[in-house]
Amino acid sequence: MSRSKLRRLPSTLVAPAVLAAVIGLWELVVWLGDIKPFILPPPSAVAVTFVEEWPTLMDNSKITLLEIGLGFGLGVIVGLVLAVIMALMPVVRAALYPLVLATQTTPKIAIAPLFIIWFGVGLLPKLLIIALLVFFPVLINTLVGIQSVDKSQLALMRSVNSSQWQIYRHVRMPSAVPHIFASLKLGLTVAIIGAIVAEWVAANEGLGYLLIFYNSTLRTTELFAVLLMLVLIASLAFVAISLLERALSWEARLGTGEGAATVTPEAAV
Amino acid sequence: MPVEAAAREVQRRAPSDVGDHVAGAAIEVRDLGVTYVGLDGTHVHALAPTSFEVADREFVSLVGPSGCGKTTLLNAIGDLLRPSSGSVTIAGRPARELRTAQQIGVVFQDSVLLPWKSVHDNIRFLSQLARRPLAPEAIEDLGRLVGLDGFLTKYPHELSGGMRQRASIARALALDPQLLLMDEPFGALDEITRQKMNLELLRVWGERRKTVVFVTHSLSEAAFLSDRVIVMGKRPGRVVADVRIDLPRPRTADTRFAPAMRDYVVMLNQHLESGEGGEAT
Repeated sequence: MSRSKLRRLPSTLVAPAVLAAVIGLWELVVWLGDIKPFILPPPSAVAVTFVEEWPTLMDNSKITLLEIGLGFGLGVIVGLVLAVIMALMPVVRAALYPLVLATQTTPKIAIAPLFIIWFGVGLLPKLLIIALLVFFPVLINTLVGIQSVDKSQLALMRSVNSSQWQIYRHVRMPSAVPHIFASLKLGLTVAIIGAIVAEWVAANEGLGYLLIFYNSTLRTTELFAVLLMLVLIASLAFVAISLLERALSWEARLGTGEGAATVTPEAAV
Repeated sequence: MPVEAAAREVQRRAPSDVGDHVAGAAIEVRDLGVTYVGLDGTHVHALAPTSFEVADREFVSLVGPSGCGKTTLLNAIGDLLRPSSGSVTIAGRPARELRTAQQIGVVFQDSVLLPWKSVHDNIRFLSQLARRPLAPEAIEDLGRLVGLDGFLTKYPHELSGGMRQRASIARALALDPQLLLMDEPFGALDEITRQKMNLELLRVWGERRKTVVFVTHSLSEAAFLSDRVIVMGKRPGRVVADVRIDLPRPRTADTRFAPAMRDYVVMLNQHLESGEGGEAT
């Protein structure tokens, strides 16, 4: 009977139901186990703190969001442009590939202090670190997308004497679109990690800075409120990209997604 | 023997008057050879120098085992690959001229429809590239011709394999080419669908008469569809026989079971086996 009830639960409600169950269990464990708030605060307390600390959270979120927005944008633009250039010119591809790989095999957290020395403690080093993290998955996936075009489609284009521009416009770019969106989602997650890491190294504002601050003063409830804020920001950004994908990607629109094979970056930090 | 009685073989270098009247899309393949150079410098003869002719509006099939170079030959005829030697002349002009004039329609084994375009837009696609876009009525006519009416707004992933090939054929016809090249178009379909598509193709060909070169590895399909069947052997890829199929048209589902039809298939099979025997065993 419970089985059939579970089946009747609309699929859109499953995820919220599970989330609610986990939060309920968390609350229960904290109260029953009498766990100290600085070890694990109950979700109810986190919620209250989240509301109380809203002005602080907002002020610092603005800083972090600006870093993420600019760094992500820069990384995506650099990744897309480099991908098209490398796809068009094999010489450039051969020349740049080792260099691109080198930027990725260097741990970004090791570069972050160097960027602070070079570019100061302001916005610039942070958005550069984020861009450095973001451009790689975008570049690699776009390149794969452009090159993964069906050979028969190229033969079809040749059969009517199409120009290189027509081949890019009508076959290669549309083929790459699902790959590009997969890489944007990947890039988003590494952008958020990059922003937090950059703020840990040198900052006196931003959500990453708040995390360090609350952690060092054992204000664990506030720390959880910051984590909640980060989750909300990441979720909203993800939804925004998904909406963009629905609008622009034929694969998402048609629901034929076989899930574009995605090249994942190494662990970001 | 009934096989020989039923068949009248055409000499490969039959004296012809094709060169004299160049109207239509008669094809002249002259000493056409394709050699691939491997990465290690070895030469692979995909196609030994080959010569034959196809008359205007003739339906010719190329059959042979995998690796006999029939697709290579087809691609060379359509100027989709550059031959190592020899030439292809269509309607008295180099194949390249016909291709750049968008006068060659190609149908691949996989339908090669663009998944992000509807059937309607796929059919229109090539005419759009060629900057002579088809009128909506013309697209509907083509859809009706290939039996796709009511499916024009669908997307490729919503269609069965047979329906996708119908769309692919409509697309190939959209530019009203003089020559239609078909590379195992029904090879991936189940037998029942394939037989149905064979009949449909003959019906379409009856209405929009083109010169057709059709690659298949099914002897019965080749015999059923064609005016002539060119049997190929491998290592190196070469022509081993050129057989005229003298069965009356229009051919129907019953033609498949006619005794003469069976005799042709038996004979084609003998040629195929003699081609296999050509290599050292």
